[in-house]
Amino acid sequence: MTHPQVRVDPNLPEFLWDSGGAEAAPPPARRPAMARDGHTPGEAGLWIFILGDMTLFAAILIVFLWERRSDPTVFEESAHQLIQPIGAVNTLVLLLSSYLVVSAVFAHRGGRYPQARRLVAGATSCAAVFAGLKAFEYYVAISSGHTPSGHMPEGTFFTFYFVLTGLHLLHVVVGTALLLAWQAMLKRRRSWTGSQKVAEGIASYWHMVDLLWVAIFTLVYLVSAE
Amino acid sequence: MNGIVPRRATVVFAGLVVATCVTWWLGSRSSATGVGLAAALTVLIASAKIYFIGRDFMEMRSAPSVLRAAFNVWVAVVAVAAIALVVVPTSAHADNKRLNDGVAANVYTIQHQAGCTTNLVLNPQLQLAAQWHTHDVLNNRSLDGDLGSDGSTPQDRGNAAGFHGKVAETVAINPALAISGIELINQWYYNPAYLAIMRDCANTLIGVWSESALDRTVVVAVYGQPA
Repeated sequence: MTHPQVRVDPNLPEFLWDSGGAEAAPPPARRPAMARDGHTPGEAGLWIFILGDMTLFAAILIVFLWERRSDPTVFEESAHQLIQPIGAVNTLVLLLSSYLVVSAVFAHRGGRYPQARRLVAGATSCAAVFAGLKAFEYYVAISSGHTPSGHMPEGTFFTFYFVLTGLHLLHVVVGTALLLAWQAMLKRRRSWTGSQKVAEGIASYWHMVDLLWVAIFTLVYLVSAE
Repeated sequence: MNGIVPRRATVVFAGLVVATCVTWWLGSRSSATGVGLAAALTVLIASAKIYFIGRDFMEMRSAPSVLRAAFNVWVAVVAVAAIALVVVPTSAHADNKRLNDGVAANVYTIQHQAGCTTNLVLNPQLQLAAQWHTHDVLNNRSLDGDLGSDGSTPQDRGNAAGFHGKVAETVAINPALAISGIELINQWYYNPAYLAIMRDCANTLIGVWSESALDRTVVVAVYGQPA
């Protein structure tokens, strides 16, 4: 795109520019503005997806709270049947995984591939622990008669519970696949410059999985039980 | 893990762990206090957690201002909506119990001013009948008295709730989020038919229920004479 002979430093005063390259010179305001406007982690398009996904979860959570208003007592009794310690431990597990992912990004950026790979593997293990605990929780809920399409009015709470946690678990599974792909990249020692967008995108997606769980745990497990 | 990750991320992680433990602790305690404030605080702490996950883990700190703003708006909107939805029903719920007990106490006072020497006892069947009609009147704006949306009378509902005996009812509808106990008893005291019901010494059992929407509060008292 750029012609080598018309490389112009936009920081130089205009009168010092090469007059022959004036038409091909980049608009002088452009580069400083970009620098000031910050860095998008991963692909810009990914962020439309992430924010859209977050909004979908937010909408379901708001409807959940709205429904809760009509019968707080039943929601409270239902929420008390969830195993709160599992939800809390899973929150800590996902927070730890996010921290490992942040560390992995820095290790990858610094070219410390084996270390980055171990950190991503740690995050993947956290995801496995999360899914395992979730499966146990589902087993307990279903064996005590709470199915996604249970009877009213308790059914309303458990329908929301299964939809929210189920959608979230789907995101955990997708996120785990992405983390494994990142691990493979690190094994092949893919340099940061070549894989920055992908690695940052995977990290951002994983943090979204983490923060959505914080919202679900707070509203479905904690607040509803109050 | 020194040198792997900036100190800031480690500090944020430690803060997130502490905040998680605090909200968990709050959640296990607040059922005793029964106040919506604890729920609001829990939501507020969670919102702060999400903000920091975004700022320091997702690197919103150094992101383009549009992206950062979109993220922060999401956090703010969800936090405000959740707090509003969480505080209103829980505190109304707590107030309702106080109101319901207060109504029974006021009716007892009115009975004794009228010369009754009987006691007035709370009855779960009558309360259930009161709860049904409260729901009905709250959700069906065309209802303004004793008749239910299914055409049922107070006696029908008393029977359906398992009460054996004669039933009477007083209903208050206030076009606001709440009603005070004084407002309520005035409404009923200056309604001759309702005053007669409240003064009837034969009514020795009572069940009260109240519920609110943002623009409508309904209180129903159902009185019973055991058969």
